[in-house]
Amino acid sequence: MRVSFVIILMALAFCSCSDNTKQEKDQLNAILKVHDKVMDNDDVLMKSKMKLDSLLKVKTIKDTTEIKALDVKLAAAEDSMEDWMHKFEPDPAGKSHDEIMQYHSDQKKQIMAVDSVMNQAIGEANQYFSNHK
Amino acid sequence: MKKLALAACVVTIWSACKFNSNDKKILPIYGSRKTATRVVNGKTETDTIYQTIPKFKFVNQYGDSITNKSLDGDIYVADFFFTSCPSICPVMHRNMLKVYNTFKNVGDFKILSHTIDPKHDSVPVLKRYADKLGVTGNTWWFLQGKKDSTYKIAQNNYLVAVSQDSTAAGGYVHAGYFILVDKQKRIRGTYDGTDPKQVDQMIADIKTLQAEPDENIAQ
Repeated sequence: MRVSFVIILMALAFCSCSDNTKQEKDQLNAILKVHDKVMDNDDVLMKSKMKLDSLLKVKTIKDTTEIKALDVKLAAAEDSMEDWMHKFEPDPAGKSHDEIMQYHSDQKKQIMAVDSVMNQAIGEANQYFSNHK
Repeated sequence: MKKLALAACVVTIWSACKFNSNDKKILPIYGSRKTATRVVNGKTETDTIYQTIPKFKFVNQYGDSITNKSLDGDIYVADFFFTSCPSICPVMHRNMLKVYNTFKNVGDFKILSHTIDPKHDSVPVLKRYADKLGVTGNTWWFLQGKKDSTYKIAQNNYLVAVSQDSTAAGGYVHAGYFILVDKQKRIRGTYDGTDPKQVDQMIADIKTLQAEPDENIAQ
């Protein structure tokens, strides 16, 4: 009787452990999905930046204030993305399940904020390009 | 006995045909192309000029300058990564190790992995990354340069073939592609670096390029 009780306890502990691991993995994958989307946007951001930099060299454009402001915004968005990337720890060894879940939840919020800053900067640059064809 | 001889004949002919068909395999040439006419001995000849990888200058994990000249006479594979990448890069470079181990003792082959995060991936960081992968010598270079220069060469040259084939809007630099370049710096193949099957195909294609006779290589 005692033996079967111990077996049931062990099975429950195992199930809960594998469930915890799955939750952590799912949460990490959700973060990485946003990260990969942000990295795809980095391509677009770099293209916009290069386009703005080439416009700065066009002598017929007298007022470059708007171009410079957009360039600064794109650079700031790029910095925030790189800053997140350098600090993110995908393998938080030695932390409890709750700590990992909390860390992932915070990181997801942060990378989503980066995504929104990038979208905003790219959107404004695109608007400028379509207004000045 | 007659049947056995007949079977042996069939197998021999089939093997010969198979061997020949492999020999004749020519990889496509990607990128833009233009024609140029010239007059030779009074006759007008038309040549096809293929897009090639332009001049570049980056620094490798040893702190050495690497230019387009450093690749003269080499077949090479290029890719784009960054050392703190948590998603696809570890998979890509696990697959690239197979390519490295297959060709590391071949003189005319190189791998160029360009970091897209030069602010973080300094020369010492790239060296540590190479050491961790077990990469030594000069077959696989991890290159660092201005982010603009890396993106420019990626978007305007290496990934042109990828963007031509895809309907997706942007996002190719961090998409895990391996780009195969021939000795004349023309793009001869693009592969999903996260897919072991495609990487195996690339290894086979590198061997095809190595077997390409000089007259096919010359433009």
